[in-house]
Amino acid sequence: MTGEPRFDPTIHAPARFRLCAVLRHVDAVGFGSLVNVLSMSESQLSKTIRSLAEVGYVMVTKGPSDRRGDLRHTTTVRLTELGRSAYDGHVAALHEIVAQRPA
Amino acid sequence: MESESTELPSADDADTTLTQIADDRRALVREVTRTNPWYYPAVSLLAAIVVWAPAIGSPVSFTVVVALCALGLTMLESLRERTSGVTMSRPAGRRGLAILIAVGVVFIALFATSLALVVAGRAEFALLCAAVTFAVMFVAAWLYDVSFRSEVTHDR
Repeated sequence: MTGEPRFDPTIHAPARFRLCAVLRHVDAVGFGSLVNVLSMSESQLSKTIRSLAEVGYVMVTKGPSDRRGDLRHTTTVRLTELGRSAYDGHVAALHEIVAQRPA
Repeated sequence: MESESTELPSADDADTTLTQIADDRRALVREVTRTNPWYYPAVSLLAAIVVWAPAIGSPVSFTVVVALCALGLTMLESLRERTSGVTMSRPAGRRGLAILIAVGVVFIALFATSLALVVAGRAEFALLCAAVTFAVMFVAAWLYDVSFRSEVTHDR
């Protein structure tokens, strides 16, 4: 994973950074799976997704539920190209900060 | 809403942040690979049937069997995605990509061998090619999982 080092305050908040880190290696993850993986409450995850969607870092897709008779929609979250680039840059910036630590 | 501090973290904080994501990624790997007990034998079996298919003889039957296997593979992938809630269309890293390419090359070679054996009148050996395909796909799938786990968890 490479990127031009660029510290991004939008991503640095722990919940947002964790969400981006999980989405980085896959195409998309369902909302329910994200709740399991990140061990976050649904409301906290919703807020985190919304804040990243507002800046164009993640994209949310809603589709019909697979279960027959279930009228609810499934929510899928993916990292956008902009989000991927911001995340890679942020990770590179963190590595740069770690590398500058005095021995 | 979480606060957005523009202040750069200390080296220790940056290191902790990078380390903490490994736990979440381990959980993601568990989510993705928990379907494996039924997924990989089924994929290996369908691939083996495709390799054996030239031995059927009739071009129409061959086409139908291959088409059904392709449909089966698509349905398996769709089912896996629904079960795990994770969609992936590319490998997580270079090792995963190398495994996919190697599997593709071996599969094509085994299919070509099976076809050549059938054309040469030794159709009974197509079953051997199919058995090898099953074994190769099964082992490659296990290796792909190991690689996925390692590349996702250790990438910082």
